[in-house]
Amino acid sequence: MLKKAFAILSGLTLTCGVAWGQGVPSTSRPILSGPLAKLDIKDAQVEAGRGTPKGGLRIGLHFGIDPGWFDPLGYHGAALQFFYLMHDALIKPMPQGEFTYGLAERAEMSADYRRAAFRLRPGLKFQDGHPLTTADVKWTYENYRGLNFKYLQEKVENIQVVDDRTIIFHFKGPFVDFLDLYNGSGSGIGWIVPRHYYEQVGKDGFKARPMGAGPFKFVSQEVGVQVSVEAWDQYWRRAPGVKTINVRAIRDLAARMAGLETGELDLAYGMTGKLLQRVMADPKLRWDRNYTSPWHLVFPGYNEPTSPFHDRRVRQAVSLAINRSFLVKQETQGIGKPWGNWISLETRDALRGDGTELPVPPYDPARAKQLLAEAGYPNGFDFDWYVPFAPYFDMAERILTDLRAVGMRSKMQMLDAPVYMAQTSKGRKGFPGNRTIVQRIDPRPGGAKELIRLYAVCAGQASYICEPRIEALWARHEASIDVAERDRLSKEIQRAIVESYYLVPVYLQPFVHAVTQKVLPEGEAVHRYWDTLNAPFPWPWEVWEVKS
Amino acid sequence: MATIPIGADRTIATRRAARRGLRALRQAPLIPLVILAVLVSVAILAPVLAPHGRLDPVKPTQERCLAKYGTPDCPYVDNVPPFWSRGSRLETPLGTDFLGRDVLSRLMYGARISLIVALTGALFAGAIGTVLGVLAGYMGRWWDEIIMRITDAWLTLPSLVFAILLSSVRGPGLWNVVLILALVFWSRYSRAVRGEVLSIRERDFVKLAEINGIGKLTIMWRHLIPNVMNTVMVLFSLQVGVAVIIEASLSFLGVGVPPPEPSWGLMMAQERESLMEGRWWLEIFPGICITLLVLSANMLGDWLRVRLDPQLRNR
Repeated sequence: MLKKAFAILSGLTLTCGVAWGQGVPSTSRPILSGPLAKLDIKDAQVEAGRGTPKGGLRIGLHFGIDPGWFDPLGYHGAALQFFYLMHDALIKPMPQGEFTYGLAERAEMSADYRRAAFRLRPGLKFQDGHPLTTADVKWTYENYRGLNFKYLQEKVENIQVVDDRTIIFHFKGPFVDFLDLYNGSGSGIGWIVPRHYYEQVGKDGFKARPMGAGPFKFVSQEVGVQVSVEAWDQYWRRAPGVKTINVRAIRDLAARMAGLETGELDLAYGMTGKLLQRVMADPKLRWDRNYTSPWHLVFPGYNEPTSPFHDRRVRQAVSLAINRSFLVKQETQGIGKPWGNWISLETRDALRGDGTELPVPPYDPARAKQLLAEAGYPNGFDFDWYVPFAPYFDMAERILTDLRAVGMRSKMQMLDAPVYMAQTSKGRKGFPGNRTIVQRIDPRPGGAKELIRLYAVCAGQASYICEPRIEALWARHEASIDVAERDRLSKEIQRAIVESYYLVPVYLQPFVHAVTQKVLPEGEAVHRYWDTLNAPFPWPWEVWEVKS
Repeated sequence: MATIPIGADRTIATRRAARRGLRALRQAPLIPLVILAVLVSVAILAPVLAPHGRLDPVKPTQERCLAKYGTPDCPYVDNVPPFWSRGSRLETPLGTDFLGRDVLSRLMYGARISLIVALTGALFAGAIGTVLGVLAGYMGRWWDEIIMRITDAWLTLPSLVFAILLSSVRGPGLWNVVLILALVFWSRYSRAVRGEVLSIRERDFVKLAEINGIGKLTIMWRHLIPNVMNTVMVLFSLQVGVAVIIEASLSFLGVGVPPPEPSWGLMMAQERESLMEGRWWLEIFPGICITLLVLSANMLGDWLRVRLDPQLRNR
């Protein structure tokens, strides 16, 4: 018994570390009675003096904007950058740490993981001046319908609103991953929605004119094309540095490049591809690689016997056919990294795919052809679609050419990002038939187990994998409250997925952005905006500054 | 009295017809005809004429790989310039694209796709529109009311926007584009054909056929449709050009023919960035092909309109 307790304690210490943050310490008055789990939540950096927002920041986003991404209750991915703009969470990933206090000034978890409690900061308000209380927190939790909502809601026995600032979640059993999912990254449930406003305008009204407790207030949108926000100078942490932010959806790389060169844009994302060399050579631009997550291929419906991808050898042939080092050179000027895992290197408990923990997949087209012949496809085969993530169509065509070279022939289905994301968020159900390859990437802050829960187990909301062996490992993972054991099982699942080629990793994406001279600070210090762990986009937005 | 040999009438008629044919041929727009003939031949013979495949990169030599990437082994060499530039290669006279594929070969196969899509799309649209136009014009009453109100509504839809909408519903694909073109353009045929039938149905030969108790379907098939074919042919030739543009636009926007198949519109879309890098030819060549095909089809259509309209012909 003593041994077990010691193991739990040491596991917690290993993964969570010591519960001391930086800056001003949170209120230390406890909420829960009894022993508590040690949590490593950093304190928020609240700025004493409030500056004045200046200037405007114009951003070129590389895909279309779905108004649904402004609503945390319907979170399905790609929305976090808008949540950080207009909304706020109790705790969320920030540059200080993966878990950082936001609207909450204190969070607790009982040592048996059956209760979690939060205390809100005093005097919190939504952007319309309405007080933000624990009633909004409870209502958001109960009305959330985005990723993982069933899982999250089934785990809760009841939510106790102690007072306007204190709330306690009582779980049906130990819920070790609660904070991972509530952390404003694993789901949208931690981002607090104003109940009074949402009930007044309804779901569609909220998408059309969102409102929250974040640093920027919604001003206007042209559906799918652009959205404008302005600084809310009463934001609790600090007054935003810029007065306005305008995000424009510009799928065309040449148009984003032209925008940067002519000063129409101050920041543009997704600059890999044909014009990366031009970005690198332009003395007026500053650019940086931001290793977010590995590209990987999935095979919806592979486990149906009629699918050609049912055979492990065919999936292995797909992996062997891809010339990753040449692809990286062509697409990223060599700054991407061929990678052997489908989970980001910055993700907690992820296996590194650089050869240290998982091998970098080799390129061997001859072996790929041989495997295809052994699997009964000596002349290769046609499959229905290759579905890439918008707007990386050139990269997709390069992979398609590699596959074609060994005999796997198909055509490309070019979907716009909102459609693509809506389909991929349904997992296997998003793609009818069983002869499709989907190219995916998921730069999601948090733990590897959250990605496994979502994509790699039968009950996952966006599941592509349903395998008895993985289910068994996952069941053990879910049943355990030993953090060290959970980590070990998570790694075992990752290894099983990669070794069976259920997912085929391609390369670690250096999500290159470029900024103009207008963005402050001058010089290389600008890269500090990308300091949040595992963040594809440069949140938090309130710290951005530009020349006015 | 001079005697006329038996069969002389027929000889004279044949000579007259030949003279008329020759005169018509002399007035025919030769340049568009030649361009169309070349494009059609290239489209049909693309597998024979094209120096390389349409989808696979041109196999590079070790020297080429070394020169470009500093390694002797590479799957392809991208962006080889065309014949007038330094660094060009004889085997790829118009250069290669971003995937090392021969631009000339892809243009040739692109002709095939553009023509198949445009011709079949315009043909299906013509078939649907002609049938509906004849039905509306000849049957009259509620047939006319229903078909023409739908036609009028259809005509108000902006064709490209409507095509994009249909394309997003149907998804990309060559035959989907054909279907979309048919659905977009049938109304133009039905409107014109119905007007023509309203006049023809009052003529004596139609009235006589009705008096003789010939069925309505037979009258439409044997008397009306052959008499509106001139109009249909003119419309068809004019619609082919528009169909080429719509197909190219859909492919340019990513909702037409899916990659890696070489459609001219898609080729232009894929090389937008190349313009910034100074490789303008990758954008210009497919553009020239589209222009030539559309201009030729339109000029031919215009000529046909003049030839088949007695009022314009005798002017």
